[in-house]
Amino acid sequence: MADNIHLEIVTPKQVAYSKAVDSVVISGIEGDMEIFKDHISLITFLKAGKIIAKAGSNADTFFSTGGTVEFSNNKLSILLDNFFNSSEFQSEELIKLKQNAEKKLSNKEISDEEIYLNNQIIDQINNLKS
Amino acid sequence: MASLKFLRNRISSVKSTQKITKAMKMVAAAKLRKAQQNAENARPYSEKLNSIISNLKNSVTDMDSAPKLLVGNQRNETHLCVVLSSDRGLCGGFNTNICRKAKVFFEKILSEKKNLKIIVVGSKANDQLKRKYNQYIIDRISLKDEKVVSFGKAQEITDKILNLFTRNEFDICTLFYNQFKSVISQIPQAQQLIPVSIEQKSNQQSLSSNSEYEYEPDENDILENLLPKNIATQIYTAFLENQASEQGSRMTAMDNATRNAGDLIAKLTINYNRTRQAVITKELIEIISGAESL
Repeated sequence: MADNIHLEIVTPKQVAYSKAVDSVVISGIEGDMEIFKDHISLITFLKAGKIIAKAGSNADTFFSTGGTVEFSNNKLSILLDNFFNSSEFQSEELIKLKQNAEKKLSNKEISDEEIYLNNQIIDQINNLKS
Repeated sequence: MASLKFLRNRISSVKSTQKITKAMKMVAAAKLRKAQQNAENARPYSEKLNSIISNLKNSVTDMDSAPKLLVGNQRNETHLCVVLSSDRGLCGGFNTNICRKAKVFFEKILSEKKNLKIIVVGSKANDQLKRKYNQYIIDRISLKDEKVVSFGKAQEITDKILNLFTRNEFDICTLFYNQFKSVISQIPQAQQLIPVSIEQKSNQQSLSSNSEYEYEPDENDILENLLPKNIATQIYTAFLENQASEQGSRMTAMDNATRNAGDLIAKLTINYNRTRQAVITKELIEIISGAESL
């Protein structure tokens, strides 16, 4: 449809999502943002958080711990490291990712940025559980 | 002429070999389908990543401050070669092809008096290369404990490579793997990982690269984050291609072996029947001539 943006979510394993949507909420590395039609071309990173694709009254929610976003010509491509449907928010793999982040935090030599990103992963996963 | 018993044993042994190769062919065919699927699923991701990076590369104007991974460290002294192979044999020329390709490259580097470092992935490349190039091999990675190569494994190898690069242990990194074309054709490939070489694709893409992008954070930060990811993705794709190639190669090899075993059985059976007939005739002659002499 001409009025919409086309959202495509790809991971190294598969094309996870490919649909026309009205807007997409992402948690960019410098703050959350919602992308509508005719947004300026954009490349940014994601930190851990939800991705909400809104189409009409429907909203699909996903979760990822990080990735890259490219938007141009009303085509939004999201490259994700990992991808969880709303039905998978309680899965074992998320617990593993959280433990992984905790392990990284226990290493004293990592940079402030990494501390921030890993804390974000833990917070967000805890949020999903509640 | 060989004895009847010998021929009988021979036929039954070839028959059981044929059963094994037939089963291996079936297994390889099933695994190939899965491996091919995996390789196809991974393609959009690496293509997208590639197009983002080539867009970024065009917008980087100041080459001096650009990330090292993109432009290299301006030297061409030490080469690191990563050779991907399989852990199991019985797959035709699969491992030999990739090693042959790598060896040609090694010889070229050595004849130019440059330094050579090798990382072998999979035990078969190690077996083939260690005789001649043992002193150059700096790391051996086995895939034995992994059924399907995970992205994590590719990431692990990438981290190793990046570690070496930041310590200035090599200048140029090349990856050797088999590209899957079809079941009967796998092409050994040499791909330069560092500095990044990105093939320029159709005009359409260069058009979109003209559009102004908003970067958040700025270009160089994004590049610095994306390039390692790109290397991991490339290695991962190479893994998947390699795996599909291995199964394809094994399938053809085992198909050939099964056919050859069939031919051999036919030949041996004719031989066996002739020998049996000859023995019967001989016995008859003996009986008849014995009866006549009475």
